[in-house]
Amino acid sequence: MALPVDVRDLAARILTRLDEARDFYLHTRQAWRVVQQIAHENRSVGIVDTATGQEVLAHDLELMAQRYVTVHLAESAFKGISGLLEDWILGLARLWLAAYPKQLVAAYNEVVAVLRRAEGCDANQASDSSSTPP
Amino acid sequence: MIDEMTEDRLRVSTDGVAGPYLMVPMAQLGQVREQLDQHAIRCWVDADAISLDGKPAIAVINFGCAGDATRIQTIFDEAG
Repeated sequence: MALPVDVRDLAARILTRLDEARDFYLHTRQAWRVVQQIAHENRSVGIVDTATGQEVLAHDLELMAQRYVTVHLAESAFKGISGLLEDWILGLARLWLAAYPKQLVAAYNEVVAVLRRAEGCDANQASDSSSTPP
Repeated sequence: MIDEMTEDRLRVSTDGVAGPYLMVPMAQLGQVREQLDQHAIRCWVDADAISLDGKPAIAVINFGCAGDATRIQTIFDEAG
């Protein structure tokens, strides 16, 4: 497939996942705010731990909702979106290098040349310092 | 300041990690934000407010972990 088509496909996939991440963040926040509102009104929420039979206290639930929305949910959404950015950049680089592999070889040769020059400098400096009297 | 829905004073709640927050009816949001602006209190309001059983929607004002719950509560108590 041609590079522009591949790039457009990649962009479409990333945008779809970005939309999903945004919807997940908004809908999860809204759901927790509903729970928080119910708890704030001191209404019974009725979340029961099936193992212990204990019910989550409304007051605890209200504070949990605030923490989950403003701290944990926000952080996890940010991490998810950062991952998408990473996928976009690496995906783009992979497609570009697959389409133009010669540039990869040229880049490799350039890095090798730079490293060799650096090694040469180190060797010269080492010989200079060993010949200089203390 | 009185909560128009509960007819009780506005109560600033706080969580150790998330910091203080205030749940306020949408109708009072402008008035509350005015008070906060006057005292240079930093905050942000959720983009959506929740309405249960057809009652007026409630918005959440977040003050962040640096928010001072006692100071904010005092501002609303003194606002009458």
